[in-house]
Parts: sequence; structure tokens; C-alpha cells
Amino acid sequence: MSNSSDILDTLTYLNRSNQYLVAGNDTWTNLINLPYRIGLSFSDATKLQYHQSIGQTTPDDDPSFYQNYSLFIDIIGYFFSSYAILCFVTAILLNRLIQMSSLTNSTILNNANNANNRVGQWRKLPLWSTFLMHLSALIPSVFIILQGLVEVDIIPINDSSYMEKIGLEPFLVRLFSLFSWSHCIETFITITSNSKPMEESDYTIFELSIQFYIMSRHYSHFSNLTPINDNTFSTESILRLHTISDCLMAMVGRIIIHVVEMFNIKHYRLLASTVVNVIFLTYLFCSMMTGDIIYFPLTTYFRHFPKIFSILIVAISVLCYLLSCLVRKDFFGNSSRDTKELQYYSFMNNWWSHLHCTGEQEFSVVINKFALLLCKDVDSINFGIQKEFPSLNVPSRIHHSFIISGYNNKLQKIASLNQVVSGSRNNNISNASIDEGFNTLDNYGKPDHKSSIKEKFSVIVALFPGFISLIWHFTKIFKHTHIEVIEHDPRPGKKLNFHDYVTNKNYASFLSAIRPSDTKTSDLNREFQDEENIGDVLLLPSEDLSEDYIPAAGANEDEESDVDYSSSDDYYMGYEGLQEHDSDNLETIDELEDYTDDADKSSVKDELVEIILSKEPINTKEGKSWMLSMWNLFQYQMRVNKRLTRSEYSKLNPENVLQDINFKNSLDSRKSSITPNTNENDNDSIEVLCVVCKTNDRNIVVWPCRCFALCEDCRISLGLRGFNTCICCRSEVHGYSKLNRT
Amino acid sequence: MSLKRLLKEKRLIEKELSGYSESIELLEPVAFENFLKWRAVLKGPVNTPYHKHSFKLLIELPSEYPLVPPAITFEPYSMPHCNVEFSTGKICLNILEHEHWSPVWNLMYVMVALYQLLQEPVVDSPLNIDLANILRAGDTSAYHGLINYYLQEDTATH
Repeated sequence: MSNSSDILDTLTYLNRSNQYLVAGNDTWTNLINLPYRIGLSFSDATKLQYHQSIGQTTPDDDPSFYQNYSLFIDIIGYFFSSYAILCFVTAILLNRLIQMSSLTNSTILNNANNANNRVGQWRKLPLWSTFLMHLSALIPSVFIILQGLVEVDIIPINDSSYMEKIGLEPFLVRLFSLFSWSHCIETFITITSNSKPMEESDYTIFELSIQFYIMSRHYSHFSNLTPINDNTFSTESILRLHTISDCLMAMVGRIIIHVVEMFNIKHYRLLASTVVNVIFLTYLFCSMMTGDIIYFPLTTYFRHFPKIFSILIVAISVLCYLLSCLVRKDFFGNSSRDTKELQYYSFMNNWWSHLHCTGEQEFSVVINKFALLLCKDVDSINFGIQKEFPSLNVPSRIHHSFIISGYNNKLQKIASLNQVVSGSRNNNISNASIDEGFNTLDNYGKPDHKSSIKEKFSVIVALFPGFISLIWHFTKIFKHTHIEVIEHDPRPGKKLNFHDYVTNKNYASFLSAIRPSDTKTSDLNREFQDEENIGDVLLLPSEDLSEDYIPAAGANEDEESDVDYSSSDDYYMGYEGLQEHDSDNLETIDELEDYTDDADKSSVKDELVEIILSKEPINTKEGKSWMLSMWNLFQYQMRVNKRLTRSEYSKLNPENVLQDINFKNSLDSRKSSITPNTNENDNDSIEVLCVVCKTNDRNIVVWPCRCFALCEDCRISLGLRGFNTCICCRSEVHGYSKLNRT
Repeated sequence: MSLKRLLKEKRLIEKELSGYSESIELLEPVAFENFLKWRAVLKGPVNTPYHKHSFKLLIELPSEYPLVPPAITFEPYSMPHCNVEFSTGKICLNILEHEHWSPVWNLMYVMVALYQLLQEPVVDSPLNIDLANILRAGDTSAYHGLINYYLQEDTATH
């Protein structure tokens, strides 16, 4: 102990026991105070070290020390600021949203395969909801812009107005959270409508979060500033004006995006963004003239000066070009030379197509690209600088099959078509609703449609008679028997398909949560209503590959050897069938159950014994696994004294099935781990890897040959090299789809 | 990209080469620090005049390798074959051309294809016109004789 107290005496900064954040001496206060003390000691030690390395003056008289120190604190402090947290949360959210979009695509396809009126959960969002969501971001944005104008006294405040000054810091916080919200909304809407979110290069969330953090730290004293009269602009007010003007620019950019997406006029974004940017740059230029420019925040320079340079470059080049054209034109004589001799003639004539501009880009992106193109001289063309910009290469050489994912849209169209067809097969859907189906089909996967208002109108028109006919059918259906209810589920949208939600982990909770309450029922109707539910409720792992229900195993191995269709039908409904049965299948299931109910129950036991005895010797491998898979079933049969199909068994006690499968899986995995395989891993990893680079996982399916061999990187490089046939099967490629592993 | 792929390919070749012992004698990078240059030795197939001879191959992989076919030549003045230019060792094989190459294939596959070329010369796209003409005329004894002559001279000079 004496040793430690010696240290405390020599190094005084280590002893911080008299410092505290929360008074008291129990466990909880210590929990808070201890890290605080450690932090204090650390900062004191740093100070001391710094001081010792600098020189003799005590840290307290050294002003440069405190400057550096506060800078350090500023940097560290960012990570704990609300801006940083909001920024990271938003980033994660956006990431998840995009990830989700890939999931939805696959579920839509799965549901279409079901062909049982089950509509995917993530169809295209209804139009009104996108409107509503855009508005939820738009209205606050407009409000915050007004607020910003109030803050800088452009909109005068009088007593009757609802606005009042809230100060810089709360303003920034509101603006930033609104900015993040707008990003989330936009991303969500665009990915659900199968398009890309618009790029935002000027104001990224991360940049803004840093900028706002710095602002709030340095200009926090503005918030308690007294209102200034209009005639004398103090430096603070100018500073504040400039700060807020930049923020407003960011917000206006978001508003443009929302408006443009709301009315489906994405290609006008460039126009709007150009107008806004020109206004802002003029403002910047004016303040440069008056010398106010130094009061802008540093990030503003970084953001807007490249644009100014680019504009200057473009302006100068265009001017030079025009001058050279002018020189060539001889107005007085007839000896005017052809302007086509000019090196930039072709470029200037086709500059728009050279830019590859769709109108959805931002002003800054386009102007920078333009300037870059103009700066490209002959040397750089020879030395291949344009290699860095593959999109600037001659685009006609690139085959689009590997570049444009056309099939993504087509596939989803096929999916919706399936549903329409299956609907009409049930002949319960009127023409009007088919029309509606085709209507959505037409709209599907086309983010930039002609006019959204027109679209909306047509949807409403198509929907109205469909709705009426649906109600009519409802009443009609309920007059008929129950069987029809099963054949045609009148509320396709509301039916939850649990298979979409289940993973390996949450599987068990699903089972226990939604288990049919009464297990035995003799009523026929009741029974196959149960069966219907079971299809959704009972979820079995799809990788259950136990051999026993493969029909080739032979009829005599099955416990129901006298029922001739048992083996094949069992296969369908027993395991996999539950996951993808359609309405046709349901009918056969009903018949089957009928049969088994009427079957003679007395001889079950005898039969069982016979079957077990007639089995091949149990000590062979197949015999063993067969016994294992059947044992629980037999046991259960003995208990209920009734012949059971596999589906009935699984219906009656789902836990056991789960247990069986788990047991079998573990057994199989143990088996495979026992067998000596040294090279096995290597082979497996090659199996899923892209065949070209052998590095990344495969995730591209090429259409129409469906070869699954490429990764995204290799797809791009193949496409850029002009490959237009599938590398595996040599058939022509028309498109690709990207798969994401989940 | 190509380096990692080549590493994998090398590993695969080391593993599989023993299975091709009757056709491919050697397939390895020239130097360990440079995977873009390989050398290979093919054995002459049975029932052809090349039997009991072996042929050296030089393989140069472009840096874009899996997307672009490898450049493979026989050693100059060593290979009398319809589809091989004798003086340069250049090979006429459609899978080694740009438009017929597929990135799925690897060096092992190409070697097997070359071995098949030794077994079945393609008369219709010759680089060694004399040999092709003789073969097309159906004069097998002259064909065998000429090849043997070349090969013996070759072994004699070395």
C-alpha cells in the first residue's frame, strides 16, 4: 500500500478522488465517477507530458497548448455529438433499407410460384402512400426553410406570425434530422418502386453532420445574440447569414428531389438544380466582391469552389471555341474556312450526348464532368486518362446485356402475370379486376412513367368496378359451400405467408405461437380448414433431405402400403408440399384425408409390427436411418391408435417433427465430420465462387440461360469488354439479375 | 483479380496434375515471383507419330488473363503439326482466340485441349501447309515419315 501512495504523491494527477460528477459514495455514483476520474487523470497526464516536451512554462500560461487541446477535444467530441449519432443511425438505416429491397424481390417470386392468390407483402406501394410520404418530408422542409429565412431576418417577424426565432443550434439540429428523414423516405420509396435513389454529391449526410457539429461548437454564442437592427450588419449576423444560406441550399436540394420524384419528372432535376446553384453561386460571387467571403464556413469553400472553377473552365473553353469559329468565318470575303477542321468541333456539336446526361444528375456532377472532358487533351487521350472514366469511352462498343439489368423488371412482370392467370382460373375474379391486374403490371418497374396523375387516375378508375365486383362475389361465395371459400381466398392481400418471415432461428417461436388449438376433429370442414392453416402455420426446414419419403424407397417401406397414392402424395404434402402447395393440390389432400379417416383402425398395430419386421435388417445404413426417421411416427401411431399420413402426423405434433429433423440434421453433420475429408473445404469454396475471378461469391444470374456463375465485378468487366454471350453456355445474354445472399 | 485466380489455379493444377500423368508432364510457372509466365510439357499421345516424344510449351498470360486468352506457343522448331507453325511454334486453336475464349476455362483445360489437338489434327485450318496437304491426301505413311524425320532431326540437334 505504501508503494502505491508513493506513486500518488509523485504523480499528483493520478489522485482524483476528490473530483466527482455525482455526489455520493455508493456503487452507482462510483460507476459514473470512476470513468470521469480516469478521464481527468488522463487529460492531466497528457497536459503534463505535452508541457514537459514543449518547455518550461506551465501549461496554464501556454495559449498554444489550449488551442491544440481544444482542437483535440473538438475532434473527439464529434463522435459523441448528436449529429454524429444521427448520421450513423441514418447510414445504417439506409443500408438496411437497400438490403431489404433485395429480399423483397425474392419473396415476390416465391409467392408467385405459390400461385395460390398469395400476394407478396412488398408489392409496389400504392400511389397515395408515396405521395403522403413525400409530403411528410416536403412540408417540414418548406417549413424549415421559412424558419431559416426568419432566422436571418429576411422574413420580418411581427406579432401575428406563427414563427419565432429559435436560435442557430436548435435550427441546425432540426434541419439535420429532417435531412436524414428525407433521405430515408426517398430511399425507401425508390427501392420499393424498383429504382435507384438520386445521388446527392454536394451535401452528403456525413459531411453535413461534421459541418453542423463544427458550426454548433464555434458559433454557439450566436443563439443568445440580441436581434440586430437592419442597418448595421455586424460580422456575426453576416456569419449567421452565410451559415444558414448554405444549410438552406442543402434543404432546397432535398425539396427538389422530393418534388421531382413525387410528380415523376426526374429528368427535370438537373434543370432545377442548375437554377438553384446558379443563384447560390451568384450570391457567393457577390459576397466575394464585397469581401464577405471570409465569413463563410470552410466546408462551403470545398463544396462550391470546384463548381466555380468548372464553370470558369467551361466558359473559357466555349469562348475560345466561339472565337475560333469567328476567326474562320470571313464575313467580307468568300474564303471562309470550314469549322469542321477544329479539333473540338465534333465534341461541341454533341456535347450533350458526350456528357451522358439523363437529367437526373446534380448540377455539380454535370459541370465537373463537362470541365473534365474539356480539359482532356490529345496527350491524355493517348496515355489513357479516360480509362478512369469508362463511361466516357465510346459507348456503342459496349454490349448492354451485361450492363443493364433488364430482366429484373421483366421477371416481376411475369410474377404478377402468374397471379392474374391463377386468379382467372379460379373464375372468381371479374374482368375489371383483371384489368386492374394488368394495369399494375404495366406500371410495374417503370419508375419514370409518363404522368403520375394520369396513372393515379387510371388506377382509381380500374379499381372502382373491381372493388364493387369483389363485394358482390363476397356475398355470393358465402351463400355457397365452404369448399369454395378454400378454393378462392377472397382477401389475397391480407393473407400472411409465414414462410417469408421465418428463419432458422425464430422458427421455433413461430411453431409454438401459432399452433392449431384443437388437434383432433372429426368434422370434415373443420379438418381441411385446419389443413389450410397448416400450410401456413407449420413450417418445416426446406433442407430436410431424409431419404425415407422419396417414393423410390418402395411402397412396402411406407407404413401405408395399402394406400396406393400415399407415397407420392405424401411426398408432396408431407414436407415440401406444405411450403408450396397450390389449390389443385389441396383437393387431393382433402380426398386423402377422407380416405384415412374411414380406414379401418383395428389393424393398425398389426400392420405396424408387420412393417417393422418386414424391414431389411436394421443394422444396414439405410435401415438405420429409416428406423430413425420413422420411430417417432410409429410411437405416435401406437398412442393414437390410428393410421397416420406424414402430414397428419406433423399437423398433430409439430414439435416432434422439429425434433426429428434436428436430430437427423445433427446426426448427418456428425457423420460428415467424421468422414476424413481434407480437400473437401477447398472444393466447396470453389464451388460457390465466381468462375472468372475465383475470388468473390457468385451473385449474378444471366438471362435467359440462367447460368449462375458470375460475380458483380466480373459481370462489369465482362460487359465492358464487349462479351455478349454467356461464358458458360455460349448462348446470347439479354440481361442479368443480382442475387443477394440472406 | 488475376493473381488470386492464378494462385487458385496453381493450387488446383498441383492437385490434379497427377491425374493427367499420361498426357501432361509438366505445368508450372517459370518463376515463383512471376505467375504470368508458365511452361508446360506435353507428352505425345499414343497411336500418333508424336508418341514417345514430349513437347515444350511457353505460356504467357496477359494481365487481364481470365478475360483474355493466354498466349501459348510450342517451342520454335520443335513441333511438326498441321495446326502449328513450325518456325515459330504458333498454335491455331479456336479456343485460344479472343472471340472463342471463355473466362471459365483455365490452363488445365487448355492443356487438355492441346493434347486433343495432337491426337486429332484439324486439316481445315492449317499453319503447316505441307503436313496438312499430305494428310488431306491420305498419305499416312508419308505423314508419319515426315513427322518422324522432323522429330529425329530435332532430337539429334539437341
